[in-house]
Amino acid sequence: MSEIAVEFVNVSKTFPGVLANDRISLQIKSGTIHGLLGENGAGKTTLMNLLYGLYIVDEGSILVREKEVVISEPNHAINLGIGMIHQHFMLVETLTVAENVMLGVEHTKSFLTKIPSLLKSLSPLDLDKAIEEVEDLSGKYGLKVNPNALISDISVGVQQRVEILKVLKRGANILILDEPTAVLTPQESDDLFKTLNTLKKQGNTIIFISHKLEETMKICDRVTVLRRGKLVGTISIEEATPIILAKMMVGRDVVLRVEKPEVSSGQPVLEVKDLIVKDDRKLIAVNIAKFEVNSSEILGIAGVQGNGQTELVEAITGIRKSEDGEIKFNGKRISHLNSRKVRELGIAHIPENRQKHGLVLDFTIADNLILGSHYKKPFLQKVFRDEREIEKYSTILIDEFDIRTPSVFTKARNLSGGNQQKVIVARELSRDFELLVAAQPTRGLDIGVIEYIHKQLINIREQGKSVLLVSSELEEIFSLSDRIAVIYEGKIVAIGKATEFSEEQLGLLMAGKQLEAMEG
Amino acid sequence: MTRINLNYRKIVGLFLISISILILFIRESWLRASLIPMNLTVLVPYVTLVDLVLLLRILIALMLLGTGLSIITLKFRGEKKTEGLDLITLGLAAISLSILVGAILMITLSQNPMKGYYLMLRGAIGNENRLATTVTKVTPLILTGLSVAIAFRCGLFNIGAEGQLVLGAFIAALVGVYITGLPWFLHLPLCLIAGATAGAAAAFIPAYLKAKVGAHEVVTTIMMNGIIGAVTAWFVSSELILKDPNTMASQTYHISKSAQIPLIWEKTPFEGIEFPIEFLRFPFKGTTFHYGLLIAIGLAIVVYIIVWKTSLGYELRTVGLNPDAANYGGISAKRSIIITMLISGALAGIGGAIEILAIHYRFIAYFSPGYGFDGIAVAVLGQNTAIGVLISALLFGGLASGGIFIDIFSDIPKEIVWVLQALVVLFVSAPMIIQRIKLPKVIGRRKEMLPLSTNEISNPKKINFNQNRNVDIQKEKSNMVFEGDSNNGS
Repeated sequence: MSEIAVEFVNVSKTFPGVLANDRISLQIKSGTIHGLLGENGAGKTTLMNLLYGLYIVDEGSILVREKEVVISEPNHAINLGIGMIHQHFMLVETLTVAENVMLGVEHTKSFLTKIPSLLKSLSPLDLDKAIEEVEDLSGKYGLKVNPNALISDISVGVQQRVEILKVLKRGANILILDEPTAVLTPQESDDLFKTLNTLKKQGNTIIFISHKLEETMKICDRVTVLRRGKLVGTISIEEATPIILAKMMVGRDVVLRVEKPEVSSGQPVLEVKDLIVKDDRKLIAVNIAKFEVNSSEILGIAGVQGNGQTELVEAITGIRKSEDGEIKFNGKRISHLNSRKVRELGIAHIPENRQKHGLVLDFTIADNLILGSHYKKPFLQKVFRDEREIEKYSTILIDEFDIRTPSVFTKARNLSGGNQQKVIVARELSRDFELLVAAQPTRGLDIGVIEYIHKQLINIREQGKSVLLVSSELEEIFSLSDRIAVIYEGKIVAIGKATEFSEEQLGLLMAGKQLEAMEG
Repeated sequence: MTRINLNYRKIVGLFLISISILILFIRESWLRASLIPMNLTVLVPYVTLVDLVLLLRILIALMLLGTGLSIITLKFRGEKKTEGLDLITLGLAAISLSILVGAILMITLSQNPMKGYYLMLRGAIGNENRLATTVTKVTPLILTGLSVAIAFRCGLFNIGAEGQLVLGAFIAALVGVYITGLPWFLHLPLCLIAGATAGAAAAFIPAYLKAKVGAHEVVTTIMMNGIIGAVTAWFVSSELILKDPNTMASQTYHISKSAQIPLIWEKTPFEGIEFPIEFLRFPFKGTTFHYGLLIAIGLAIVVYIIVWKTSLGYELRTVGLNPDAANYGGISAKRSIIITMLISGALAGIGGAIEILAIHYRFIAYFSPGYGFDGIAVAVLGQNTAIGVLISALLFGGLASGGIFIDIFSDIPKEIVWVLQALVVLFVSAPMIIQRIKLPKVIGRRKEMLPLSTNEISNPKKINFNQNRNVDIQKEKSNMVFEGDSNNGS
């Protein structure tokens, strides 16, 4: 086996007006876990897409196992033994694990070994063989899955295992994982790391894309840092510290913890009592006995995604009707109001999914900035839009919130994720509000923007307003919240001062291990 | 910097447009000699080299015109229209392609395509009479096109424009027949309003079902078409109900004079006042050119204003593009759906009313040759914009009236017109389908790259930050990396 699994030599990739990868040279050793670290937009994923054949290299060359190769489509990459596990899983929810794993390389029941592909596609599937194979693979690599379970029934962590199995099934021994922990609980992440170590011991090479420092430190043997399309450097993990890596990523010193002045909190602003909310499938998603948010306070709701946070936030902000119970805002019942009325009462809302709820991607930035107040003065005079006022207002906000865009009339679609989020933050913070409901406000953003948004949230608290922060990032919850509530399967399983919890305890609570946590 | 760019773009655009005009008209004498003999029968029935060269010239000119126009109208830097296919370019490219494919078709039929196109042009705008015929065909197409387009903006596929048009026509005719004794300035608007209300009522049923129980509007509106067509036909099928007993056909009585939309040469709304538009009206003496066209154009402007300049338009566009964001932003999707469908139905209803009040003067069972369905094609070709609908309605109306000449003066089957219509829509919608499929993928991939473009290249603030305004961005970038490298070493 060759020493170097993958080598990039002066690889460049240009998109119209953007140099996404600028002469990147990098060696990835066989049988190691190689971290690829960088902020969003640093060019990590582009580089890996070049390796996987989703893009074609403009300049430079790629060597796989010390042989120069031209990879122009994913099939070439697969034939070279390269597999990629995308951030968003490519699984068919209504099929079983075994069916998903064999997708594309289906076994058919046929006595002929070589039959025309049309006939093959018509002959019956050999599911038993597929199940057997899945069991073989999962035994070999220690990836526990039930081959007969439906994808829609298994947890995100297990779904990821299925993705890995899919890649292994196709004979890959160079695995690319694109931000694999973004959707996992701390415990699931640990399981993933164990799997990755097993895979490494068996001689596989793993490329681990991330923008999180700690997990990179934990799992990788060597780390390459990219910034703005350029290679900053490659160091082995023994030399690295989080501070060094952060500096390399951002190019300056980063405050990893937010400085938070003491502010004493006051009266309850938001009170939630006996709340029951159902999700889209009409199943009870939220069943909360009681919690409240006080003025000048950040209440962090920690929880793994899909434990009812989405429904809770939607119920509070008037997007979803609650089945039962009470939501009171400044003593006034708001559970029956729609989102427009709730907003008018003084609740601003940074939605969890910026592209689904927060923005109309095909609208201009200006049009997005007035969403929710488009029907009011000064943007509407009688029945007609006041275009000049809208433009003036948008220009001010773009300036104030440092939204980087060529013009106020650029479509939101053409902005980077960070700037899209800034548009939403700008819009919501410029309202007249008393309570900000911020759901996953920094998901998928790079350190610079995260820092910025955190500062804004702290500012709000100092002004005597309150924040209900929903996040699955433990670090974010810890560094910002005054009090923390843990949500698990729609219930608040613990609530208390932020100082009362340890990170480990929170992780366990989020995973539903109430008793052990209490004992610990 | 932006300003210079804009000017540069304008110059390039104008240059291309002028070249396209030059290509079309530079040797007009030669063109005339080969192509426009006074006697139609002189045109040779076989293809000559001259014809092919001319065809090629027209196509090249159209493409250049499209590119030039799209370059000029691209307003903002950074706002690249989806995948480089600009709306205007797309439309003109589709027309050019269908001309080409139509020509190939005619050649395979051993016919001279240039003769076919020439006849079509003569039939559509050859003289005042033909122009008037075209206009009468264009008017309902504009209205059904607008009807479909505004529904599209709200994410609704209104296939029921046909039914809404028929019901609007029927009710307008009834008001025109059975209400008498009113002066024209009351009776005519009353008929139009009745038509609009009827169209809106026809659209309300699918809209309500969609908003309340989520019934898909495509299914319900198609069903409504059948119901309305048959019920209105039944009403005029017997003397016992509403049929005019003096005629054989299934139709109502003649509407009163006061309900008729006047022909443009008959009457002027500015009676007694010497008005400079007299010379415009004069050539159309004796033709069917009626005032309905002005109503349709006026409504196109109204639709433009509603969609782009009012909060109602903002809301319906939000619902059309992203219903989740609309819900989040406090916009009721149900309300938007119902209001949009009411407007959509009213537009189609007015289209039907005008057709009755200006052309037929009575409701005839199954009178519509499918204006509602053609409206879908018009809206697609017009890319759901008001101006686009006006232009594509003109094209479709022109094709319809041009088809008559093909039928009379040549052996080319007149069905070629339908083929051309279908081809245009096909070519416009085919790239749209391709874009729709590819777009999310491309965006997903580009996500990682875009920040670079928007952050660095187009942020004027950043450039100001450096003392030297002319600092090369590339240089700036490399400086930063250099800093990083030194950090790395430390």
